[in-house]
Amino acid sequence: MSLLHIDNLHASVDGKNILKGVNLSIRRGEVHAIMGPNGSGKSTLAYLLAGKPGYKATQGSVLFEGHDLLTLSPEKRARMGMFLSFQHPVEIPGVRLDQFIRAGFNSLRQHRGEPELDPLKFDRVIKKNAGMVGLHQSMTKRFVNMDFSGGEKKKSELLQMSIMEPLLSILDEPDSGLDVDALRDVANCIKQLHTFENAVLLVTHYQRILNYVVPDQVHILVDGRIVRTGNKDLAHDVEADGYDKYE
Amino acid sequence: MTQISCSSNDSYRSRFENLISKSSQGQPNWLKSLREQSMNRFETLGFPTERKGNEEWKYTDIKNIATSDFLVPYETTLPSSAKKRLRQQGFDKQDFHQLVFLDGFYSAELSSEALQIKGCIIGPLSQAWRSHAVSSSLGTLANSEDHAFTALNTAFTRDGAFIHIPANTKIEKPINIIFLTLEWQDKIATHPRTLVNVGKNSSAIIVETHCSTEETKYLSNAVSEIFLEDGSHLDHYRLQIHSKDAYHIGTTQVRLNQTSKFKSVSADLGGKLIRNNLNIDVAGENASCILNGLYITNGTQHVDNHVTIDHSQPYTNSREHFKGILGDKSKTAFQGSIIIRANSQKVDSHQENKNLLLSSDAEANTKPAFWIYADDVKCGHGASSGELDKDALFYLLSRGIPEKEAQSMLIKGFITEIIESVDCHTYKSHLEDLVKDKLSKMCE
Repeated sequence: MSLLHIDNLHASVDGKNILKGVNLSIRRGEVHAIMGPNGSGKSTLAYLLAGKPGYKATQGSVLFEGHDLLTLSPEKRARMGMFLSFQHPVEIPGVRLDQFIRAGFNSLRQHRGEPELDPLKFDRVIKKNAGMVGLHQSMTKRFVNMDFSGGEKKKSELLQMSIMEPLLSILDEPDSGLDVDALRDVANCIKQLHTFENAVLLVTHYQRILNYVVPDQVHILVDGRIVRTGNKDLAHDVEADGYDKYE
Repeated sequence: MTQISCSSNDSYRSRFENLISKSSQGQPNWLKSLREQSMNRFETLGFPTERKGNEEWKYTDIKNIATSDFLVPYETTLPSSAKKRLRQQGFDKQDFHQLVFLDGFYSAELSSEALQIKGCIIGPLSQAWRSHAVSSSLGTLANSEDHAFTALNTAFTRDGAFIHIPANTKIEKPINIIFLTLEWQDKIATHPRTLVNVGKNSSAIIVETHCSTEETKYLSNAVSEIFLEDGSHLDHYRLQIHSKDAYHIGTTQVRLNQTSKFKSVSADLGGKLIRNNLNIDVAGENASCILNGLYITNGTQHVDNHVTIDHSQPYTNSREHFKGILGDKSKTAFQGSIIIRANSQKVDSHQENKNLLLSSDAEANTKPAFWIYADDVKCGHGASSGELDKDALFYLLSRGIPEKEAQSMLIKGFITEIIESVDCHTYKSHLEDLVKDKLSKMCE
């Protein structure tokens, strides 16, 4: 059974049709990349899957582990193992990053019938994982994303992913705004977090991150439809020729 | 307990005469004449009930105070409820140097022993009327000439806190001044007074708490005068947790001499109608102040913060940051005035007021005003009012955090930076508890 099965998905934002019949199936252990020009609907698909208010499916269906995903609240989707790494993570004054992650982590544990982790034990977990994603531990004591650099914001998203251990990680442009070194760090980290048990849906505009995180399938999204699916070579073609020939 | 009644200006006069005849024995002549002048001035000014064209009172209607019949207690006894309330407050004499006033009267029993530091006085004003430090400064900063409530306080005040710190002295233990209003059959009025002088290069932390034992109706009209000598440093944390039916007019007048530093963090959680006047005279070169404040209102609470900073000297700094969380049909106002005088070059000043509205019936008003007469200054301000950030809420939900918890994290987070600016650990955790309590009641 597919972990995620999207069938003929149509969706609108503010009354405007963005997705016009997306079909996509992802199994555990796979990495899929969605590439496309600006405005093709990549982020809309990511937000829609995570349940962002204002993003409405008008037709089609999405099954996540066999459950009808579209009827669930964003927090329930997260508890079922869905994770969205934001392209532009939100700054939250007054809420510390470690407290924020702990609140999410404990609600997932509660959902699984496991006891909450006390702050002391959680501190050890976050320390270990912060080291793994290359984020200085002192950053976890700061307010969520406040005064974080572009790279630190991306690493903070990966830190959250590493602790939540989702079944499906939707990574919305985890490579945007990164220099070469930071891109390599982020990509290596994604590779490390990907196992046979989970899946990654990587949304990107450029091919370069796919040199590190090698996808099983690459989908080209243009004007709300997947117009082409292939293996990693498809990404190279796009890099060489651009999206023009698919439009 | 004995009491006398006050309603109109006429009855304020007769109650004043009564009070003087009963309590002025042994008081020095300067005090008698200061009271008399202030009473006269109050009669001339009257209550500021006329709001048309009166910018000072644009947002706050004190008609109910002006027409109410408030009794003035002239003695009080110590009920067990007072001790209980102080225990509930979590204020321990071990953590603070404590001065407790019941209905405006000093309670030796509830207060800490006198501090044994040479030249240092932390005690009741009523035991210091004859001190030169009091007679030479009381009423010189707080303006009875233009402000009816200050005039009324000066006329009627019976007691209050007197803190005199000599030069080159650091007071390690925070001083906690508690003005506690007790339960009365009738509405009462108290006029607590505070006089603080921090000597050259000295420092202290003062917490000023206004609270009550019961949910009764009363008027608390407090005035504080604070002098900071050259190079001194004072943190002033004001906490207002009055009864939900209480009226509170609080005036704090501060004068900063050269290179002195003043930090104020105010918290308004209680009361029915609250008006705070915070007036800072930045009167010495290189002096600076940080004025932070938070207010959390629900029901039909009304909180008006009126802050004036007068930069009369060059190279002075001020930072103002007030944040409010408003629920139900509550209403708030923040009126921040900054004056930069003609010779005050290189002043750096910033003002900010942000409000989080949890209800569409709540109303937050912000009115900044700047009078800048110098040309080489930095002066900025920002204001905003709005609901919870929807993108931030979705971010929290997308991590599996339940909606109620996510909302309360964001609401609490909104004022965290104000709480974090408190540098006294004991008071900070106390304030955190009170804020959490109030917010959990509002978000039920």
